[in-house]
Amino acid sequence: MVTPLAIFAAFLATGFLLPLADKLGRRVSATLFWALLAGFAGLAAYYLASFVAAPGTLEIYTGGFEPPLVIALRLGLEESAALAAVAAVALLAAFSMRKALHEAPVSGMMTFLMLVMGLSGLVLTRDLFNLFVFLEISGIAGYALLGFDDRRLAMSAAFKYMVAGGIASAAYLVGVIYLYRLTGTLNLDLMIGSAGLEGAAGAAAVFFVLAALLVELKPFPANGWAIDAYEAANPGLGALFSGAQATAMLFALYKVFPLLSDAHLAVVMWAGIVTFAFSNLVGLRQTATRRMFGYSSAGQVGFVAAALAFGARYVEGSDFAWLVAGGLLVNHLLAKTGLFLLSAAFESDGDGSMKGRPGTLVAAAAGVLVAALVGLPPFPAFWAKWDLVRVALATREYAFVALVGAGGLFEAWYLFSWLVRLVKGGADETPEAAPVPVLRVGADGVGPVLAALGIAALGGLSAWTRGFTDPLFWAPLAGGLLFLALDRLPGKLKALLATAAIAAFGYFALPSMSEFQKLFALMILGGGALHAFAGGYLTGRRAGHFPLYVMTVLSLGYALVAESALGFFMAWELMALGGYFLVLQGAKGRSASMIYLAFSIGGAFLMMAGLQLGGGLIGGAAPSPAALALVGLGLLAKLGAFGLHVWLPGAYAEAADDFSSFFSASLSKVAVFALMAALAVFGEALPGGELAWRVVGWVGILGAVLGALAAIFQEDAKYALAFSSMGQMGYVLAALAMRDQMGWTTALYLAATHFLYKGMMWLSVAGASLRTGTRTMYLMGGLIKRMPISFVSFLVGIIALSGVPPLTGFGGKWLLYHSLIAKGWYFEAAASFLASGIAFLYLYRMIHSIFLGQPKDEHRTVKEAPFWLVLPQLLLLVAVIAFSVFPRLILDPIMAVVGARYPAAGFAFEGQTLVSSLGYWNGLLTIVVVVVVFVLTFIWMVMNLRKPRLVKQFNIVFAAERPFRPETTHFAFDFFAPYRRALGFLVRGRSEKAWTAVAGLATSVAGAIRRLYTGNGQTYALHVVLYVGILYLFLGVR
Amino acid sequence: MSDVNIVTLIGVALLLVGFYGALSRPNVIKMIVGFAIADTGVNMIIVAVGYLPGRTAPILDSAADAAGAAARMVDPIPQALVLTAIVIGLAVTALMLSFAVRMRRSGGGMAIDSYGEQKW
Repeated sequence: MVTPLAIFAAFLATGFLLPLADKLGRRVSATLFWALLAGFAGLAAYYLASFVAAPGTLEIYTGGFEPPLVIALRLGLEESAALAAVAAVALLAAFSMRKALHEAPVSGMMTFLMLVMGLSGLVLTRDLFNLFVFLEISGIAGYALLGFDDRRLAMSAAFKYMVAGGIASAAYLVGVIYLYRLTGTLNLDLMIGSAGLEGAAGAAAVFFVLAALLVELKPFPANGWAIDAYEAANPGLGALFSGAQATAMLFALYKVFPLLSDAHLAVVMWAGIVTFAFSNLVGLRQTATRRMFGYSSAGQVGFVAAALAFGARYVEGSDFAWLVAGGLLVNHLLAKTGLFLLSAAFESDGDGSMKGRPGTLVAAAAGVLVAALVGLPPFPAFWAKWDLVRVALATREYAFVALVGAGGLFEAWYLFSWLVRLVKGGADETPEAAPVPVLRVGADGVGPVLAALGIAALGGLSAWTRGFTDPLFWAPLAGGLLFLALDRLPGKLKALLATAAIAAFGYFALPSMSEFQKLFALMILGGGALHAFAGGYLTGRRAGHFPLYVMTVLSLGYALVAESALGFFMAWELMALGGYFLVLQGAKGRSASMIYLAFSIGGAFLMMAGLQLGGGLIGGAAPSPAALALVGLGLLAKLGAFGLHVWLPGAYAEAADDFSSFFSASLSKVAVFALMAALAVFGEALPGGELAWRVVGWVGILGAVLGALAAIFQEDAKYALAFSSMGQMGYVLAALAMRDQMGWTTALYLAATHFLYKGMMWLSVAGASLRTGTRTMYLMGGLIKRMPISFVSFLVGIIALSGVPPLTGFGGKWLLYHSLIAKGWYFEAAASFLASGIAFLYLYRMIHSIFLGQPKDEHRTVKEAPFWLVLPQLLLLVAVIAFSVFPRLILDPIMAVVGARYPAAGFAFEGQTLVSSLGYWNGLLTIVVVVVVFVLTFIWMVMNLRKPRLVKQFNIVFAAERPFRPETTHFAFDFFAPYRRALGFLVRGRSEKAWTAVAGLATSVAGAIRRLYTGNGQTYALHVVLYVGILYLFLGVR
Repeated sequence: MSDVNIVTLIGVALLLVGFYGALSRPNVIKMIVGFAIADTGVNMIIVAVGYLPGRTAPILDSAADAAGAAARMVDPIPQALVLTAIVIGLAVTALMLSFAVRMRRSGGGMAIDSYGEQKW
């Protein structure tokens, strides 16, 4: 094996040769530069491969003596991995900086090489003084590179950096020399365990070394200088700082861990996690991209340091450091490198404005990088966070977990906001503006794409090594990738292929499913296939729609069959991510998607904490009220329960029409599934006992009432349907909260029928708005003649929803009232009766405004909805009719599932008649009675008609008025104005206001905190000195 | 051996004086001078740590031959280290000064607070 000393020899020799070679021409010196970097990367890869194949360590003693006489280096698996990381980032960064490096004097390249060499030395050395030397070499090279292109901002940033670095160096030297005095050696391995470290003097000396390394890691709030440096640096250099330098510094910190006491480690842990949470909080206020990335980098590095210290304190062995800190680190360095390079390619001056938007491949890479950095699956940080939170909860470090969650949420918000700016172009919500042109970045896109590929591969590897070898687990990702590759095909063909893919998934998944899972598979996979087919209704390619759609549906499918909590959670997050991007693809989806994302990520974190508290493995878990409460809160957010629903109307309404339909009809059901599964796993006890369940019930009922009330005031058909869905899911939640045979039968029945009729209504509205070009109801009207099938579908849908006989909704309401009354929840029953009444209002308004009344002039020639929309509606219609006539078709499987959990009590079938303690319901009889009554009255009407005659549209002169425009004959705008005056105060968006206030509080706090960052280098220096002092106090207090 | 000697005390004093200067003088050059003083202080502390009372310089000459070196010399390691530290300190000071000059040329003032464009 080549001795790593060759690295230093090669870098130094090349450094000296470069000016000579430059005399022969820049081409020669540049070749030398690239050859060295490439050779270094090759060597690092070779080291890594060798140590993976044959673990062990190589101890290198310089000069032929043994320590303590000489400086020792060590090369092992960890070192070679860190070297490989440094080399990879250095190559990518140099490639991004190639123009600047080639144009600047040759000293630029020399300095770059010295920086890389210094970082390699930090990784390899086992000598504390030698560590100082490499710290200074990489530091000086870094300062110089910052200012090498002679911009004033960069130079002043470099100066601030030097000031902070100077303080850290002094602390380090003082610490090292006293360590030498106390232990008699500078060699780390000889120092470890030395008696000299014990006692106050030893602790203080170690503290100074530690504090210097911590300061170099840019801890909050003593990191203003670093943030300025990130902002001012060439983005390639930013990548080098954030990726390579941070890796080497973290490695150096990790190296001195054996010297540290538990108190020292606690300081690292809390300093790191506080940096993560607060840097990201302050990052919320950033629009200048590189400064924002700077906050994110500081936060991520703090997170890794915290994870390392946490592992050292609480976990035996080095696996934790590898999996968690290593996972977080490699995730951060690849993702952040890619993001810095993206910002170099797409931004001119780093103030947040973009030169253009990326094509599909680069956009996908950007999405991967952001998702990875935020810790979404399947990327390495996701797995690492899962383990970290598990151990942190097991050791009762709840504050630590809370900071992890908060920091992640803040970071997700600003990084995804940036992503939206990148892929949609423009600074803010500007849907009307001209589309931003696609910027072909050519070679500049290579770095980000490579980083994205690397991070995806490592994420996949993490999943595989955790035992996820089930093909169904990989199906969502494989499906997404497959459809990404097929993205150039026509949309209709992709719709068919997507239908087939989802059906195939169902074919392979169904055999292993329980009845309970099959019931939901019908709604989710069946609905997914139907809506995939419906996705063919638009012309064109629908670029990017199908990869995300297939991934989302298949993740939902995997969530149904997942056997471990981790598998379920990964599918859950993937589904949320897919949903986010699908909402974002809507024309005005920006703010809606961001709110959805915030609730998804927040809810998912609660859920993760709950799953971990509950024992991690479905089936092997112990009943735990706290776990149920956390998981339940996460699920209620996804369900859009009242109070947590503020994301729902926007997300449902602003997504593409076919996805809105899937979202409301199918996707929302997964929360019901998970709630029921969670009760089975964690037990039914909530903190607060029965009262808590009563509250949950009321949350459902309030959602039903207020959702319906909000729906009646909407002018936009999709918002009306969205609020309607919120209301319907409110009933489901209330029924679930009853936790008995009647309640759960009701819940499942309502969920299943909501899937059917809401799918019909959304698709019908999708057809109407496709043909009329608007979603605003008062701009439509009279479509009954032009779109009869859509009308029938919508009509059946509203009858089924409203709960009037004879369709399925009647059964739903019958079940609901019976179970509520049987449970003794009389007020809830009354309130849900009220909600049903309100539902009539919006249903009537919708069918009236869209399909009845007078058609508008411009809609006289519209055609029926495309076949792609009509066929799914017809299928759903058949199902609704069938379930209405023969309720046992759906109720038998439901009652079998419920019966497995709750003993039969309350509801039972006698023949085709469902009997409860309060009465009975026969679906067939209901239909027959209704039809007979209808036919009789119809005959009576026909017989009593006297001289009927057909009139033209405007022939209403008998009204003593002659309208000239159809609009004036069709009352549709602000339809329920009187109700708004009477009841509007109930739906003025208090939840929205409350959540806006929470968000406002966060941004105000961020705004206040960032006043610390005055921009004055001297103030920053003071921060550093005070920070070290305060950390010392913390150490002393313990 | 006493833990505190006069050189250590002077070193600590210089370190504090240097930091005070760097943190309190707005003039960029004076800040750099402050750091240089602090560096000197650190170097003195390093040398002082290797000092053993009554011993001679770690040079093989008439005062100490190879056989008796270990018993008669002060610890040579800190003295070797301090050379490195001095060189590095020099490099950092030179770099800081060159940046100060270029910052001044690029139109900034001599005071550190005239370089606060980047903030928050």
